[in-house]
Amino acid sequence: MVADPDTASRRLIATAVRAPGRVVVVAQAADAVETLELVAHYRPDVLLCDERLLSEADFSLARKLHDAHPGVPIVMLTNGPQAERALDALRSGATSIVAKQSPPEQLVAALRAVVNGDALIDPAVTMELIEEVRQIPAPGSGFRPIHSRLSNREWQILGLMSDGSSTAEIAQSLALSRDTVYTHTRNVMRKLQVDTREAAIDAVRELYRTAARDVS
Amino acid sequence: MEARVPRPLTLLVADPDPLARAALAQMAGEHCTASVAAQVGDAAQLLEMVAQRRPDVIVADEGLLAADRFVLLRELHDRFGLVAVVMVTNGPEAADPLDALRAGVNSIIPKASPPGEIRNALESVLVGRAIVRPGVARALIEHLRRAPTQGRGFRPIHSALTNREWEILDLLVAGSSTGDIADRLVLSPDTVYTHIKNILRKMNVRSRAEAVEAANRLYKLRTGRATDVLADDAGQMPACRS
Repeated sequence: MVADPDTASRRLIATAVRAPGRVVVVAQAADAVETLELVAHYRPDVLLCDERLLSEADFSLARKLHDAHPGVPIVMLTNGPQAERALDALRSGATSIVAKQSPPEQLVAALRAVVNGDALIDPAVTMELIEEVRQIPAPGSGFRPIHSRLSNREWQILGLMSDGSSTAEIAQSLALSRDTVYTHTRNVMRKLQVDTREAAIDAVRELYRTAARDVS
Repeated sequence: MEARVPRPLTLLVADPDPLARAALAQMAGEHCTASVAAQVGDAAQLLEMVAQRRPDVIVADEGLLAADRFVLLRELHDRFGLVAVVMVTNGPEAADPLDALRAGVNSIIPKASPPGEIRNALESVLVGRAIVRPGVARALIEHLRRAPTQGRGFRPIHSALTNREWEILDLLVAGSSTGDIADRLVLSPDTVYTHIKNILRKMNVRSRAEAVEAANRLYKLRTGRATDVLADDAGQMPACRS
């Protein structure tokens, strides 16, 4: 499906993606309300949406679409060669960002990629994305989620465990007895509801990924 | 689009397998706008050559880089600051690509890629861009989306600030007003004010803006090691004191 307030632009894109064949444009929309209605009605495999339309009111259309129809990936089409707020777009629900002026094969390649569960992103945006993701703390970084039933000491031990340290090494690093470390480790595994070290490390990585409140 | 490079850029190729090393060096040398400064076969040689030649980009085998959860990359960063790294993989990736990217790899390319793709990856990295497989790009986006939208949700393990104080500071970093914070945490504005006063005192700063700046600096200066104490007891970086 194609959404763009500018009629000429919309028709051009629809034609461009049809050209190589095997892509069917089921509907075209000119504003946010229409886009939402038509996506709900047609459930297209993918939505191609103009950047300005998608980003209005802090990406309100992107958020609504992503919430209501998570199974419809959004390819954002930029008017210039670069997106204004690429990371915000991706965060709000866009999965791919392509320039309108791209050759048709590139547009179709982007469509196929998102339908396959992948994403084609411009290399400059990819770098931005990588740098942003690098900012998110990981186990062993000296940071811990704010909300947690685990204590600072327990997080410290988990950080060292995630780095591969043994009980003996942890005891030495923190100037604790091995028994103390062992007790802490048992408490942690109980709180995380796991049986093995490996499972604890996996559980911790998941906690870092979501920085979620522990569910008691 | 050709990027204009102001001076000849240098590449270092690292792979324990001599055949792979030679092939990578040749490919890089033939097609890229940079020249191959050195070829090495193991971690020790790599560190030595980086010290000697200070290459702009390192092209390295995945096995070599990923050993010990990318400890080699941490060492590189500690000694030489940020270096552009292209990781070359043999078949399906052994390491989680997200781990590699977070550890400092800028681009991940399979060895089996056509030379044009390897060249694109190298040249992108040289101009501060990154090329990854579409599957990896998708994984990055998912990771980005799962980070909390209000604040970061994280605090340093070691800090004189309490959890509650970090919760409030995190919301300040995200741009919340006292009223917002009071609503969100179900506290009275007076209580929030008191907490903020304590935060400013403990961090040894005079304004909320300074506290936010200090918190942001803490994040940027993260290292990869759990035993490093990132801040003194006041949660303040040494740099803040000067």
